[in-house]
Amino acid sequence: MSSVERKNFIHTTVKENINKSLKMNLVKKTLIIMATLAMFWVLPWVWNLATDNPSRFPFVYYSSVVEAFGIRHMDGEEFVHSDSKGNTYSTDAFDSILPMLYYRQLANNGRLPDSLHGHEISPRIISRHNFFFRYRPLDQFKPQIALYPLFESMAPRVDIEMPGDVFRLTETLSFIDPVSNKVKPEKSQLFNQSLQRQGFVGPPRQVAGTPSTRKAYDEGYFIIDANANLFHLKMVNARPFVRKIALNEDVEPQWIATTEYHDRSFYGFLFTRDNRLFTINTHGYAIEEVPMPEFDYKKDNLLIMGNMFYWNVQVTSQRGAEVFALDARSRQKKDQIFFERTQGSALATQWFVPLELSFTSRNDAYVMPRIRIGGWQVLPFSLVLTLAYAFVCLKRRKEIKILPIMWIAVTGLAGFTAVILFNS
Amino acid sequence: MMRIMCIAGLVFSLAACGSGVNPDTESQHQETPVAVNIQQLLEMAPESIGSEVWVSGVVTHVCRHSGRRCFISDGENSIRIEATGNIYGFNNELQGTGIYVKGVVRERRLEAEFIEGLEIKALADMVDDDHNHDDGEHCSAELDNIREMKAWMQANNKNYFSVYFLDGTEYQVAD
Repeated sequence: MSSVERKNFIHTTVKENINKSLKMNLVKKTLIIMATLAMFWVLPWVWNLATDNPSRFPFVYYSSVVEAFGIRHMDGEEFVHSDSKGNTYSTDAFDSILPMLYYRQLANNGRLPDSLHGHEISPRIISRHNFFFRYRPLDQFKPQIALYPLFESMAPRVDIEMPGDVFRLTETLSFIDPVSNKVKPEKSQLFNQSLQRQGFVGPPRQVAGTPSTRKAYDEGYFIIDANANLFHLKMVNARPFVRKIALNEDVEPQWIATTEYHDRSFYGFLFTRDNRLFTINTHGYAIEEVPMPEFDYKKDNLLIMGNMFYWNVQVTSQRGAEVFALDARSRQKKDQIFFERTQGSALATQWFVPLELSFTSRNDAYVMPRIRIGGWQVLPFSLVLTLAYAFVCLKRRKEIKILPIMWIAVTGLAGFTAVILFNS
Repeated sequence: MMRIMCIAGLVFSLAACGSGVNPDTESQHQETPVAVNIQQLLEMAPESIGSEVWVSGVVTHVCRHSGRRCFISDGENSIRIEATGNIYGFNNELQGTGIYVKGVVRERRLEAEFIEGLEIKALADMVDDDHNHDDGEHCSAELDNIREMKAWMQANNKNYFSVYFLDGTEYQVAD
């Protein structure tokens, strides 16, 4: 090989090596970035899985007998029964102060009184007026299949039967035969006329109902239209029944949960955009507010346990669990109690990663990337990690490069892990 | 090729036009029935027993338990409507709503002996020692009704009082 050829060969080889090196560098950097992003997801998840200790709140129910909250909580392995006045009870005595809840036990033991506060009570009467309503943000924020069966509300037979078609409501209402997949034009037109006469404007924000035959009766659907007006739609004697429900100006409906309770005193619960709660009463569609603790429909859970004397309205949030006892008739607040949440460990992640990446949330049923950005809390730990990396480099007699150092300083433990794994 | 695609597109769009629903051409507007008011119905009722009529009125009460009965009124007169035929029941939300009801006129005759019995019972309740003021007013109203019935029977030379009602077979909500 001549000197020129040797020179060319060396030049080509060096150039190839440099290119290869550049490509490897690019691959390494890409891997480090991807691994860091993955660590933003994995590290908080693992930490929460290992350390999360869910807060358990005592069970609380307002007693119609002692006019105080009955409280049941765990003390070690045993249940402890007490009330908000400080008295403690045995299990049997606790049953007796909560006849509206433990009526079946009391009836079984022959200890259920035949009247309370001047009202006759019996297992049948109590069960007719009792209800449990539970709301989680997940109930509202989840994908819905926008096809609804419209049952006959005045069915000739006791059991509710499937109607054989479903309706879809966009700008107009269409009944669809699911077998033939065709629209039923006559029935659709009949119902559309009724909706239009009442001033319905589509598409609706929500169509709320109970699309199941497993209920005592049917009250159709409540619809929030595009202009936030509220309508009641049902099918009575095979004909449409539509009513526009008058709302006060300060009531802007956000979401409705229909309830078909035995006593038929209200159609359901109406949540408003400003986090208030109302019932839609069966007498003339009166909208009546339900006083409750501070509540955010996007984040907090709600539980209402009602009986013929009192409603227990419990809101569970990041702060803790707060319960109001309301008079069932007047909705006046009788009493309240609050249990603070014991500090969970979920927030600890902000000390070692500057942001958290997750794809699910307990408040909705959607899978999508969510980023929670932390604050300055990550800086001390990042500083420790950069020093640790420098120490490792020195031990390995490697050059301390500025780029990995800056990456670790910014990304914390996530970047440190990625650099250690892929920057060899 | 492009020409074939265009023709195919035209054919498909024409086919799609045929399968949709045109609400304007298939409009099914409910016609308002020709109905009598309650006053007119009560006047023509004796000669119309068993006949089918349309009557209009405002729903004042729906039997809450089953919805099998409702009362409609024009302000002064009222009449009972029973759910039969195509009416499986009246929903509670109809209260306060104007409706047109088609039904068969029926009559229930309260015989003179029966009315006498009602009067005796109402008088007995009036003089009851445990009677409170509110019940007294109720009995007084009941007695007034009974006396009106007796006065009507005397004026019309009849030994019975007729109560007219409708066996409703279909209804329509007034616009």
